[in-house]
Formats: sequence, C-alpha cells, structure tokens
Amino acid sequence: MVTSLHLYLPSKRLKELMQTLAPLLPLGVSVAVRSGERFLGGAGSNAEQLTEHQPDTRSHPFVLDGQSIGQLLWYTPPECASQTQPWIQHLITLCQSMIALEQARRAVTHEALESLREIALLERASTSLNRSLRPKEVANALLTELASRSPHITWGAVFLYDITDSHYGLLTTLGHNADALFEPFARSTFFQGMIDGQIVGIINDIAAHELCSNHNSLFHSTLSLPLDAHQERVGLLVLAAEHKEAFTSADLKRTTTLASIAATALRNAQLFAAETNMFRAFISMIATAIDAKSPYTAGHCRRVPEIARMLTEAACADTTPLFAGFRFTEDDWETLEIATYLHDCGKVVTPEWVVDKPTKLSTNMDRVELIELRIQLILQQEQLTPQQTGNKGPKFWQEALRFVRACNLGTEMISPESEARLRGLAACCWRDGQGQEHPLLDEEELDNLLIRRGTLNANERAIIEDHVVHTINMLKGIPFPPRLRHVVEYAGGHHECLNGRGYPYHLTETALSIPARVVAIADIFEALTAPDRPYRSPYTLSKTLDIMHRMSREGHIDPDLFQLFLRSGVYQRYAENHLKPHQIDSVDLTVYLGG
Amino acid sequence: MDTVVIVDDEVHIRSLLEQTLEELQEDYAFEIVTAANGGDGLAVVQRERPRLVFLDVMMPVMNGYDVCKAIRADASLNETRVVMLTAKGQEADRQRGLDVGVNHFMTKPFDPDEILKLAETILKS
Ligand SMILES: [Fe+2]
Ligand SMILES: [Fe+2]
Repeated sequence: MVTSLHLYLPSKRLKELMQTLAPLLPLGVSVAVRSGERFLGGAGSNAEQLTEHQPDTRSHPFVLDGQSIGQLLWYTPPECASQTQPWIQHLITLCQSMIALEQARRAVTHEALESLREIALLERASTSLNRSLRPKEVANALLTELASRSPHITWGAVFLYDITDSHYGLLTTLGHNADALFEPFARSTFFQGMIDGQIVGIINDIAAHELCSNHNSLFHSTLSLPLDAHQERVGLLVLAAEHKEAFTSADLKRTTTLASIAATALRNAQLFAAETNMFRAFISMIATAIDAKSPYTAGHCRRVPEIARMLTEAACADTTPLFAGFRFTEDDWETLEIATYLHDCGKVVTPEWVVDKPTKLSTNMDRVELIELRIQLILQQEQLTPQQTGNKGPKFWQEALRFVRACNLGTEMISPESEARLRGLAACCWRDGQGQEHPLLDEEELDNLLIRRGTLNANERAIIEDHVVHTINMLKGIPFPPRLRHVVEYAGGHHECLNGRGYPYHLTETALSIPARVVAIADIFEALTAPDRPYRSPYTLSKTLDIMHRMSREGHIDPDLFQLFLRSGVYQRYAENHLKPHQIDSVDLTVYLGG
Repeated sequence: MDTVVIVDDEVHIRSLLEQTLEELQEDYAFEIVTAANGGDGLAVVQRERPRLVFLDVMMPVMNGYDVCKAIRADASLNETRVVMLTAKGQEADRQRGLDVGVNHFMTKPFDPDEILKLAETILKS
C-alpha cells in the first residue's frame, strides 16, 4: 500500500505551520509541500504552482520506510539563496519531526484499533458461535464469520474428529462447489499433513509444498488450523483460496482467535448432541416397548412419526394460501418427532387384553371357551336324562354355540333379534357338581356379548381412551426445554376432533394446532392400513381413504390437511414403502378432492 | 469538502474515532472536527453542516437525544446523518434515538471496521 504524505502532515497543522512561516520568509521565496499531484500546503506567491522542473526550484523528499511519500519544494530568487537556506533546513527538520511524531502516534493508534477490532470480533463471535448447540450450525457460523472478514477466502470446510475411529468427517463447507472440491482434497497427502500437524497455518503455494504430490486441485493457498478444546481434538478448519499468496498474517490472527472459540462451541455442541442422542434412545425404547406390547399394533409408534413428518413437509412446501404462513424450525421438527414417537406412550399402563381385545369375552382368556364347556355339560346332562321335558337337544346347542361364537367376534352389529336370542340363552341353566343351578351366561358375559359394535364394552372403551390421559400426564412429567415445549400439545391431541367430539378434552378447532391435526391424521391412517389387525384383513388404500374422507366431511379430521395428504401424494409414497401390495389398489382422487 | 463531526465527552473515544476515520482520508476528502459536549457539538454541527455526526448519548451540557432533536429541527441539516454511540446494555434506548431522528447506532466498544464501513457508505453517497 502506498501511503501518502497528507496522512502524516495533516492539512490543518501544515496550514498553521505555513501561516507562521510566511511572514518570516525572505521576499520572493515560496515553499510548497506536495504529495505526488496533490498540493498539501505552502507559503509565498504561486506556492501551488511550484514544480521541481522550474528554474531555481529545489526539492527535498520525505521518506517513510524507504519510500518517498512526498516532497518539499522551494523557489528562491538567486540573489537570496544563501539567506534562505537555513530557513528551509529548519522547515525540513520541522516537517520531518512532525512526520515522525505522526508515525509514532499512528502506530500506537493502530495497536489500539487492532485491540478494539479483536474485542469486537471476540464478542461477536462468542455470540454467533454459541448461538446454536448444533455442530453444523456452529461450523457454518464460523465459516460465515471468517468469509465476511476476509475477501481472500474462496472456500472453507470444517471437519469433525470422530474419536471412535480417528476419522475426520466433513461437517460443512462454504463456497462454490465446495463439497465436490473438499472430498478429493480430504484424501490427499496434503490433507493428511494437516491432520498430522505437519501443516498448520498458511500455505501460500500448495503445489510447491513437499507434501503435495501431483497438485490438481483448484486450491492454491490454504489456511488450516486444528480445532482443539481443553487439549482435546474436536476437528479441523481448512480455508482455501484459488490464488497463490492469498492469505495474510492478519487472516491467520483472526482465524486463530475464532478457531479457539469455535472449538469450544463445537465441543459443547457435541456434548449436547450426546445427551440428545441418549434422550432419543430412551424415546425409541419406549416406542419399541409400546409396539411390542401388542402384535397387532406393532410398528405403529414408529410409522406414525414417518407419516406425520411427510405430511408436515408437504405443508411446508405447499404453495397454496392454505399453508402460506406455515413454517417449521429445527426445534419444531424435533418436537414433532418426539411427540409422534410418544403419542401412545400412555398405552404402557393399559392392560394388554384391552389394547387389542380380540373378542367380546376376552379377558386374559377368551371366556367363550367357558360357555362351550357349560354347553357341553348341559348336553351331557340332557343325554343322561333323555325324557326330561326341558331338553333342547344337540342340534339346538350346536346352533347356540355357533351363534354365541359369532356374536363374540364383534364383527357384526347386534340386531334386536340377536339380542333377544342372547337374553333367552342367558336364562338357560346348567348344574354344577353339587347340583347347584347357574345361568348359561352371567350378567357380565351377557353385557359383553350385547356390545353393539366392536369388542369393547363401555368400561373397556374408557380404559382405552384413558391412554391419552396417561400419555399427557407422563409427558407433562418430563421437563422439556422451552424449545420442545409443544411436545405435550402435539402428542396429547391425537384423538381430538375439530368438531369437539374427540377425547380426552373435547378440544375444538381453535385449540388444535396444525401439527396436532397432522398427528391425528397420521395416527388414523396408520391404524387403518396397519397390516396386522385381529380378525380382519388390513384395509386397502381406497377403503382407508373412503373412511378418512367421511371423517374429514364430519369434522373429525382437518379437511385442508386431508386434501393436502391426498394431493401431495404423501399417502401414495407411504403406501409404496409400507403397505402390502394387495392393499395398494387404485384410488380416484377426484372423488375426494372436490371437498 | 465534506466534514465529519465527532461529539463525545470522553477524550479517548474522540481520538479513537478520529484516528479510525483518518484511514478513509486516503480515499475521501473530508475534515474531522470534534466537540467535547453536547452544546459545543450542536454549535459545531450548525457551523460546519457535516455529512456525518458521531454522537454520544450521555454528555454534559446537552445530551445526545437533545442534540439530535435540535439537528432534526433544522430543515437545512436534513442531509446530515447522525450515528448514535450507545454503550453496551443501552441498546434498549434505541427507540428513543429513533424517535429523535437518529439514522444509525453503534455500540461501544465499537468495531473500527464497522465504523469505517458505515462512514464509507455515507461519504460515498
Ligand atoms: Fe392413541
Ligand atoms: Fe396411535
């Protein structure tokens, strides 16, 4: 950089000096201070026009660090040359001491300003590098900060050190096509030198370096630093430029400062990631436990997260006004994942025989077998006393048993005729070994067989529905950090309906967020298409969507989200990955997309 | 020639700012004038009609808000850009600065590069 005299002889002070000098100068003499083309100040007539090529004009250069930065010019009429000389000498000395003083002052100032720069950099960096606890974001912040400060950096990369296999994995990069450039670079002997510590700091001509065999990279200069925190290796920072001689000591200084902060921030992020992984493992363990509890819902807790994620991605990508304002942050994704994995965690306290009660008479066993025994007993007794008037005969009892078994399955509605028949059977009696008479069906058995739809009686239904309350209470017991504060809401709302007819809190539209509605849809879709269900084959895609379409019209699930589920093709992609081929039948979307 | 005015009661802040800005004098012709309190600062601004004023907040005689308010009350000074120098932790008072017509804010301890960047954009325009 060429410095100019005007920086060392500030115009104001030069002006003052010249003003004091002017009256003392012999008549006809003029002096000027110039820096190249620039006139800085002077005294006497025509001072501004003075050049060294004029006759009787002499000059004296001002030199700084071996470089001429300007000159003093003076014109003296020949008759008073000797008289003027001491004055000129005096002026030169004055100017030189002003320059020296100014130089010293600038050096001190430079130091002070450098310290200020460093403080500012440290402060900004410690904020920006510690803003996130995700290694990748920390590394990106480091590269961005460095690149914004140094125009020489064309590419940058942060490698993370994996202590388990001593491998340096590429964490993130910066610059055009950087990933493709750093990948082969990371296999070079030159990179190995950086890892081994043979290369640290600036290499301003890679091709000339002894560790560089057959240089074919676009990188010509590099600046690399190990990232160490508390004497532990965290990773490696590599900056690269497309020209030789790109990096300066100022770059190195700044990079060193930032690298040390970044290393600590990365270390913290790694520790945090380890904690998070452990937490995730717990979540996964619970999901596995719930899924393992019932063979019929196996995989439910693992598949609902996938559907919910796909549908949420579709909402983020949607360009219609319906989801225009919908945004999802990293924290939101994490919240959704945890919430979906744990949405049914309350089922750990639901008794197994209720979770997927296969028949109406099931408890820990199917009590229809007891009824068969009783009927066999009655038959035996009838055979022993063939003349007895109340005997109904084997055919009747075989029919009766078949009928009870059919009712027990709960696949068909109980008609008034069936109800009457069951009540009639209940009134029949069998005799125990002591001759004591008992009804064929006790009150509780009769109540169960009379369940109009499905296999669950009112009490059992309440127990099942209670699983959400348990889910909510269990999740409320976990001190989620603020960024995950919506886990309970997303998980706890999966059986609520927009029309307020859901459970447990009968929430309505206003209280149900989009993610909570997404979870509800994912839950229903998974449950309907699940491959293994007691006593029924899995629904086909078209039947499932038929059912969900009706639910959407009835205000059970969010119609906008359901439409998005269809038109985004999420249902189709999920089906291709998870459903049995015979479940995937053709679906006519136009039927549903009309509304 | 353009003028830049620095108004701050702390002498080292004045000289650091002045010396930071001197780096720009290589490329831009402007003069730097300083003042050590709000009252003098306003007088200097009214006399010099600067392009740019660096203005401290807490100062004797007249605080930065009042100086800025007075500058903004003078329609002939509407080309003058005001940069308020706030201390760390006083960022909350920015609204008050905006209300009296401050154009930019800088937090002390300031980053010389930020000062240079800001001053350059203003002097260039
Ligand atoms: Fe559930
Ligand atoms: Fe579920």
